[in-house]
Amino acid sequence: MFDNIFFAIGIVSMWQNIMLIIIGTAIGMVFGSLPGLTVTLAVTLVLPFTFDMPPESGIVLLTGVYCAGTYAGSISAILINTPGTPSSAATAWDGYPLTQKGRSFEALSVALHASVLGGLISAIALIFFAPMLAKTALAFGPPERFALTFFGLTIIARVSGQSLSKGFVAALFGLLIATVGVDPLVGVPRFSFNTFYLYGGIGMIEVFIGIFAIAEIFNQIGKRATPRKIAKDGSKKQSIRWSDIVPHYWTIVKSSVIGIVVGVIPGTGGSIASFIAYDEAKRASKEPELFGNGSLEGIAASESANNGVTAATLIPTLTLGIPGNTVAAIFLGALLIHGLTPGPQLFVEQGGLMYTIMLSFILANIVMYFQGRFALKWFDRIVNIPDAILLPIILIMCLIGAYTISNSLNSVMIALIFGCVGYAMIKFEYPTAPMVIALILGGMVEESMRQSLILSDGSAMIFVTRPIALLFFTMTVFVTFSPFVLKFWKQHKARGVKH
Amino acid sequence: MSSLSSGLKDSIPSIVTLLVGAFFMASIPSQIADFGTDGLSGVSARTMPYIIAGAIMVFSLFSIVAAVWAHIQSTPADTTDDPPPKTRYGLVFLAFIAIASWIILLPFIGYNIATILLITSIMLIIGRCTWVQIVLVSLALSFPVNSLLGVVLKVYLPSGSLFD
Repeated sequence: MFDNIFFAIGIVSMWQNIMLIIIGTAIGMVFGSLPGLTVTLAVTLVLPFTFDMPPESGIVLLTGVYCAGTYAGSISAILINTPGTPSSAATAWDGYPLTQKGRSFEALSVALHASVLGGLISAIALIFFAPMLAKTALAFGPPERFALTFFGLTIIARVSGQSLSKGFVAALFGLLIATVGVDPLVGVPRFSFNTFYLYGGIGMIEVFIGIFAIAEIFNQIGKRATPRKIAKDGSKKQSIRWSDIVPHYWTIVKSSVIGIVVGVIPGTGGSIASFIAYDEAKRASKEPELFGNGSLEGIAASESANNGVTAATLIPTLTLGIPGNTVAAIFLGALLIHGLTPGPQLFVEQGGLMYTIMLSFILANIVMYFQGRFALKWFDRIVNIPDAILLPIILIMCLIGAYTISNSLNSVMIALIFGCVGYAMIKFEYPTAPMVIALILGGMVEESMRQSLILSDGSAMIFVTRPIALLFFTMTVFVTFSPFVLKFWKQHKARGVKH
Repeated sequence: MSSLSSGLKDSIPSIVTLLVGAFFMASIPSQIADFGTDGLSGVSARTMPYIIAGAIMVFSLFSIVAAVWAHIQSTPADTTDDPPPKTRYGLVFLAFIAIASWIILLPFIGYNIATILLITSIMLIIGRCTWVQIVLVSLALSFPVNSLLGVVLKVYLPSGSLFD
């Protein structure tokens, strides 16, 4: 093992590979921060350039793109309320309110530190626990995945704001949107309305661009773009310090572990990890009322979880040959192109390469930290641009972003339609968060549920007879009902004290 | 009676979601082919949409009833909140038209001209900007962005069928 680690250190510290990591993280940061340009797209575009490189260098470059792209989704989420990646959706809930309060730099700083820590913890997990965690992945079949994603949906109740029924209606619309497209099991089109474009379903990024960015632009125009009330005292903070996240260390560690566990399970990903971590952080927080209104802890939870997923996703990919998400699938393709077959034997036959991949995650996060420190000061200046200039810039970015998803104006139309829906939701005080959660998790919930029922010949008992699924369902019940029980218990206790 | 009507007025969004839910419920037979319950799972491609559309209708109805009931129960003193700030829906509609026109015109006049027109109209709608700013921003977001996307990201935006 140590021979391989020393070999990997030698490879990663070569100046060519360090340059590749720097270039990769820069590319990832640009793609991740622009709505519509996804990490998957960035990794896909970079992949052909790795064909002529040695396998180690190619993987190093892809790692840089992947880590920075995952982190950079938080930048646009915080500054313009449009998550660059689906896994940054929870970051927008607290990041944008902080920007409106003039605390964007603090939010960006916490997001950067939490992302780096989450990524580093995930990389360490990859180095030390890969074979052990791979076994966890094998224990997750469709029933367990259904139980996990269903557990992820429980957060809807806590992000619904004052009206639970409005939150549920918004979530149900998210689920309904997720059903559009070809049915995952029997292949029949659903709600395509004879439009070929809708066979592929409604893309998440188009919906995010619509309900977050375009709706906000409409909202600002409706208010005649009244100059944003950015508290000047809050904007003074212009330095990044580790002390900013000291109060959130425990949240970051906990969320990173959630990210690793979720990341190991194929077919899940950063979104569900960040929702679960966010919900757990809110539950455990001393200031839960700040969540959704500008909580640094919420940003720390979401960002450390989605970056905690990055290296963990590669655990089943490298050890079992099962890609955890689309980016991992591209990594798998890259390995195959270089003549390497993922699986348990890869650690034996290509131990040096394996540890190179693991160490490159550590290096990518370190490089990302310094690049982030440099870039954030420039990103933060975006909020000081007058609305009359900033809004058209955001609008064009969003329209181009939507166009580039499928090189088609259909995506732009979808974004505009959801812009109108999002604006109506703002005006009628419907929360957007439940809709986003349901949209992201809806497809996974339905697919895993139906796969489970196929496995059990239609018997729902499969969900309670498998220990891990039962554990998640028990947690769902606990997390859903414990606040009510606690409230009742406190009232009962208070009455007892009075008497 | 006035409580009932004001309750219904407040329920307009819920009535809309109820109608949308009903529309999707009614469109399921025509929009999702029925291949039965895929043999094994006991759940067909229509099951989830039926459950979701039904739940939307139930929750919307619940919201309507709750709003009407709240108005019937409320006293006039309960509804003395400050009026919300006035929204200029006309401007929002104009912005919508401008974006929709960009989408329609893009294939014909190309990205550069369509964007100049869109940015100019959006900045005029927002107001509080000079003509110099309008010219500079619209030019900066058209030609340079188009070239940058093509050269760096290999993303080619429509150049316009009228100029081909």
